[in-house]
Amino acid sequence: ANMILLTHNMMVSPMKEASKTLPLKIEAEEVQELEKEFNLVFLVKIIDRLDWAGFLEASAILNQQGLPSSTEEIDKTNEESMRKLHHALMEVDVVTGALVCTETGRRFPIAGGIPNMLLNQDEL
Amino acid sequence: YEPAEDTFLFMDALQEELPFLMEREPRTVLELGCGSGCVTAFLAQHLRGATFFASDINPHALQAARRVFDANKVEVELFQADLLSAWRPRGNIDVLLFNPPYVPTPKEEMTSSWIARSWAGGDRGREVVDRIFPSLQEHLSAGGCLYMVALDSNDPHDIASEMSARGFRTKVVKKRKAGIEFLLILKIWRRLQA
Repeated sequence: ANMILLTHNMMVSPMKEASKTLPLKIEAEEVQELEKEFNLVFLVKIIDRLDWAGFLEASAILNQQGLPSSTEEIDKTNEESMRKLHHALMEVDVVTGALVCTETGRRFPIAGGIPNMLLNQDEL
Repeated sequence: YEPAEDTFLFMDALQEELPFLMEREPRTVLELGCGSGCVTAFLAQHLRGATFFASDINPHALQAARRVFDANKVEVELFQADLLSAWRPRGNIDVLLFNPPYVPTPKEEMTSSWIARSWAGGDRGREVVDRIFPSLQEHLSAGGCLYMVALDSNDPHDIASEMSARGFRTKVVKKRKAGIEFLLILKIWRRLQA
């Protein structure tokens, strides 16, 4: 169980004031690199689902460089660049840190690779 | 009835649904209220090519699920959340799995303890599951489907008609007698546009 960038991309702030459209900002304390099976078919299909700008922003925070600046620039036949994309999306794990709601400033802690997105009683 | 009965029924139903699921080539599978994670672990072993996500409100459940996933050598992305509250509503879910707290109980019982939260479903046993129906249209992908556990007492016909009004079909894919009740596995998926 890991907080990888694919998971981050699927999530939004649960705060009732938040728009449900913006990515959460990553604060990374402890990060580890994993090894996950490279599946080009899956990768190509999941690209359509991503908020690409949010992914790039989060990748930069985790020091993943050299990613295409838009989905149009992705060359699916270039194995090296696809493997780089796979690595950034699936293999960089934020073990400790936080996901921050940019609209309210609320921090959702990540511990043991698990983000805690629960609201407090007074936020419900 | 034993709590584990519904898990086994759920797994049996998903086993039978595998041809349907494999044909759809899902990319994202999410289990809400995953508990110990058995259902996701099962599906992750049989369905290739998808990323599996599982969430629960209970931190102890998440730790148990993590152990189950490790023991079964499946990779599942875990997070702690209240249902779909932190999930981006952008048609990102191909298969949604939910074994909700479905037992009809007084409202107070729903939050009386961690363990009660796993089975106490309030009025008609519907108060938790009802929270995900309104946003299903935004969360399920075009070919996406929800599989959920229900009791007869949850009024599945009412669920079917509520979801029909939203453009979804509902089917009981499996059913088993449990004590004096029937446990059901419902499948809810988008009606195809004509």
